[in-house]
Amino acid sequence: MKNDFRKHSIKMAVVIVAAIALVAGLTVNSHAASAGANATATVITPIAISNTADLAFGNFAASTGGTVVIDAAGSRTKTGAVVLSAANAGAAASFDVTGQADATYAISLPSSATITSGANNMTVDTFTSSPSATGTLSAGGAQTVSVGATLTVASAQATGDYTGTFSVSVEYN
Amino acid sequence: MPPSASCGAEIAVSNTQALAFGNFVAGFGGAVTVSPQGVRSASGGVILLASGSGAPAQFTVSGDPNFTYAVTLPADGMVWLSSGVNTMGVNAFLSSPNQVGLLDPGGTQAVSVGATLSVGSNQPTGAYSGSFQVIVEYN
Repeated sequence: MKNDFRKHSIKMAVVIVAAIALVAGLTVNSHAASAGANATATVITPIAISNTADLAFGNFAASTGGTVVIDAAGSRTKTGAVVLSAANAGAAASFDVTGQADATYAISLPSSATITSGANNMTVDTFTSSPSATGTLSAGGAQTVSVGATLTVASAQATGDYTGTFSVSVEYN
Repeated sequence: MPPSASCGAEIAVSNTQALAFGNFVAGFGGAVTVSPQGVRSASGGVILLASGSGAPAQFTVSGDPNFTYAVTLPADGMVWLSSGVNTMGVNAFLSSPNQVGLLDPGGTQAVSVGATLSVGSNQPTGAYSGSFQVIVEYN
């Protein structure tokens, strides 16, 4: 009888140990596991552009026509019979672009614009910029974009002050 | 052989890639969603940048070949990204496989996890980060 009692005690001990193992929780449960992961996002400053100087072709005489060119650096040249006047040498347009530090952006120039004086007009096209096509904002989140173009002057273009507008757009890329 | 009678290998899961919502402008607010397939989209006034396009989180699950397992993702309202005192909530977690996976004959399977980030109107700029847990369990 003593033997039977000892056997019974051992069986009981084994059952109790097994029950404790099952209840011990997730750490000893080989049926489940977990892992952590990071999640990130970056909210950036919107890009903005503002005009600070007009594009000016300056003073010139039309003669039998030609073109007046302002390059993105603001230097003026002419083609054809146009006679440039030193009284007003013109200037490139200037824009301030601001946004996220060190971000790159695309610059979109118009294909053409028109300047008018009463019923008379002239076409502006072949816009160029510096930087050209893509810019990079500084560590302070800013950059200046200069814009030039080509003005077509007709033979005996009517005298007068011609004005017009054009738009430049920028977009993060 | 049912898992309850005898488990062969323990199930395990490890993270191999973080969940990234990428770069964007908050505008008047909205949401950025990254799908488990890695497709990023925006709603409302959020403008996504082409650079920093985001990516789903990636996990590798390992265990007994050909066994199925359940995937448990965070519930809504539990996960936040923060940048200083500013926060954005992460909800609508979704995985591929979704809810239940099947370990391949090699005993592994990749799990991708996406979610939706809520962006406030004029959300302050900055680099936001946070973390979340994924649980896998034989079923």
